[in-house]
Amino acid sequence: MHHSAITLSLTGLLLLSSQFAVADYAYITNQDDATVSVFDLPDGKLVNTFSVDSGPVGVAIDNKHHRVYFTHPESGLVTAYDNQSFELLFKVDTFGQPFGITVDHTAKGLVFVTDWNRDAVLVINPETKQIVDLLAVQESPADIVIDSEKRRIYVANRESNTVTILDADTPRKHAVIATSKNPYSLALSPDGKRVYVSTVGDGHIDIIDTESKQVTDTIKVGNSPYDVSVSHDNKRFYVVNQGDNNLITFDALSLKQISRIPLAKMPESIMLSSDGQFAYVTNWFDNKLSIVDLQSNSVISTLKTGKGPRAFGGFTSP
Amino acid sequence: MKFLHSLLIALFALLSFTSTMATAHGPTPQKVDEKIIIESSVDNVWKVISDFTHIDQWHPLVTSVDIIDEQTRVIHIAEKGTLTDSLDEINAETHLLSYRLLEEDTAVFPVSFYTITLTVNPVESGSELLWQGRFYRADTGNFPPENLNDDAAVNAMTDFAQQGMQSLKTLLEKK
Repeated sequence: MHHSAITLSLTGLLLLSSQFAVADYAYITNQDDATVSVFDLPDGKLVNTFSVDSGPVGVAIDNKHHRVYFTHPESGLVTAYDNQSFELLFKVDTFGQPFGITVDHTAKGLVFVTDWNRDAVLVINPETKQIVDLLAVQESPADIVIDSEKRRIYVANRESNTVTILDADTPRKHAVIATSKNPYSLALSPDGKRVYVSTVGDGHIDIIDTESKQVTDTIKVGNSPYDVSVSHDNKRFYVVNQGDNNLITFDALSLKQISRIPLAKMPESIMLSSDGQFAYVTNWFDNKLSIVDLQSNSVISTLKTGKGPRAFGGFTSP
Repeated sequence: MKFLHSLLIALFALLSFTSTMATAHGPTPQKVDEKIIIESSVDNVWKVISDFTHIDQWHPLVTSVDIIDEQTRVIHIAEKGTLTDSLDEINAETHLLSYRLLEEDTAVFPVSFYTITLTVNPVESGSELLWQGRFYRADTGNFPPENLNDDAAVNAMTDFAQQGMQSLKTLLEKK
């Protein structure tokens, strides 16, 4: 009797701690009031708003090491926080304009950051908290994504109209690919076969075949497509058009539009829930986070964020 | 390792010197969000603002417009120079017009890029005109001089919106 009570409470503790460990959050960087809004997923309940260094923009989550990273382009900082307690772990001063950010989910959890002003990718080792490498790319690098399995890094160079493919382990450049005008955001399909590039200057999505390293398709999607995301089964991709205030769903095979959903003003970034049923979109002008049900193609809630929500990059866990 | 670290810092310093003034837009967007009530019908307001290439007929700061094509206008700002705008969308149903800066001149206007949306909505006394947009300061580096910083950009964009709206109001309410 006594024994089983202990077993029960132990099980309870274990359950609690494992639930705590997998709490699924969206981290929204609010550039204009220097805060991060944390929403519990999938429902989007606001669980915390914490102050950070000025002008947070980029986000990358490292669940394996319980960390979340933010870039602060104006102050040159990359900051690391505990992804559950939201306590500051460390800061790295890059002396540049750190913008896009991603984490290598294998091994040490190296952090790759684009430097907007110096046309470079910085590599940060979170164990030593130092910049350990500097890789040249082209003008105004914005988004960066990593294929941890194939060991490749993709960088969108906004002012050069190119995407650079780098090796994740050696200072080797695989390719520089010409794109449409002003490539800004990137999405790697989960199978690693395609990279979707949103080009804000002319409203296109360019689709790069990662094997041939060629743009195989270019489609017009709208005005200022600021972000793109791919479904977990690789069959659909989602684009948010800042100039049209909408989210468009595309069939990845036929490249045809499946649905078009109106959003709040100036949508900026999109991520999907871990089960793929919901999309989360920040609306920069209105200071809102929209939750979209991708089954019914409708906005199910619109939540208040801080001022100037950017959430550039992977602001939810895959 | 220590040597490598100093080498990297030296490299950074070199890189910073070579690119202190980045062109095009930077990492920090700013906002313009202005509203005015005009005692005139939505159709009347829309008729004037939707004529994209004739902004010189109602905006006091625009002295003339070179029409490149229906989607592209070069606006002349008194004693300063020119800016080129490109039309993104014109929607007569929702009474919405949006355009973007195609060619900047930071001596004319201390911004490196903008997108602007004008919207007319019906209200009891006539129309509500919204002037909303997103833009970036002229010097997108981390140490912009005062005349090219965020405040300078916000002031110029807000002033341009307010003067345009006030002039429209005067013009349309006179009729």
